[in-house]
Amino acid sequence: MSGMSAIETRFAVEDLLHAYVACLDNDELEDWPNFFVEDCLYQVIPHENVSQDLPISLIYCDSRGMLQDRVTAYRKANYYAPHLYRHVVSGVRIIGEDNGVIEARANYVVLQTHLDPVDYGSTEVYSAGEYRDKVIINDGVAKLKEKIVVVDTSRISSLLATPL
Amino acid sequence: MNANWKLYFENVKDPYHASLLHMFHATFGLYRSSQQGGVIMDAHSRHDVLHAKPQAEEDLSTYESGLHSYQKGYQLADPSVLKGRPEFEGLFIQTIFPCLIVQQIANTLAVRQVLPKAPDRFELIFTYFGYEDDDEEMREIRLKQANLVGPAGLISMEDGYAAEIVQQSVTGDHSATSFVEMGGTEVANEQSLITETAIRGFWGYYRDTMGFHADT
Repeated sequence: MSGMSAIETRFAVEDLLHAYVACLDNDELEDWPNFFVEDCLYQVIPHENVSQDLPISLIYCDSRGMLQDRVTAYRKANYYAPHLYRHVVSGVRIIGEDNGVIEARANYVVLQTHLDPVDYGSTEVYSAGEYRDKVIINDGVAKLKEKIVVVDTSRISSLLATPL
Repeated sequence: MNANWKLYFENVKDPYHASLLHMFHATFGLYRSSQQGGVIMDAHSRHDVLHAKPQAEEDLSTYESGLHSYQKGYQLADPSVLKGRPEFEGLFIQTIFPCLIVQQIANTLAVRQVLPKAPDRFELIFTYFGYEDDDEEMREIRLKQANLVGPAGLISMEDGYAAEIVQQSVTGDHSATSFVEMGGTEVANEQSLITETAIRGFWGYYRDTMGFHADT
């Protein structure tokens, strides 16, 4: 935090969010793990489970290494229908700060455009939910300590290959 | 999933496809057709259990010489996802006709319900579970291993997506038929993972239940 004003903090968090979704939407997944600190948590979990205090997740990574492995698997091993993501992020709120860790919330919607021959060019609402982030700002660089993606859309259309 | 439910159900009954499709699992020794195992069916060949013994150190030369699902020299930055604890003897996947699958892969325990929604659409509901007396570490192991299978699984290719591809391939030609015979036409328990006996048993039972008649 180091002496940032509330408004500077807010801008840093918002910039991080927008850069994060741009990274995913622009298929620059190799950069995706770099939005996180080394000792991090990235979790994609259905709202249904969160509301019942059940821990099982669609994706549960507790290190930057696990995120890198996911990218490697995505590029080299996973099969999935080609598609584009378009994230829409809104309602960014800073809800607290503890020991230099800023807690933020934001809504997201991901529109998925199909690029496979069967559905080429059609777009659907693929996922809606909330980002629950913990952000650390060091030397003016904001990174994610934690990103919990609470998906309202627990009925996944076919697959969840690209991260949210 | 945009496929007929039977395509998924037969996929789960097939022990052979896993080494071909599930690159992640083959590469990291989670499942290979060379494992000891087999298929046991009930008397009507509706239900079955596919079982595979834990992997001993094995000669991987066959894989390295060309099986496309095996990638040599691929290392995980954080192998903790593969960390497990001895619990069951290998892997067991049961299919309960017509729409239930009970899964034990390493330390992940789950039931999968197959819900047919339309001739070309079904839903898959994964319910994972552990034991009430699991300690903290075991709970963590189960949560982490859940990354391997399911809609966001590292499994590659996920079985539901495989069903969608088959659906896309078969819907174009309603009157055509094709037949690939692997290991004969019999339906009997097998002591090998290179078998399609449970698939034949499933379709035979489905045909009889529905009152369809085989041409041959």
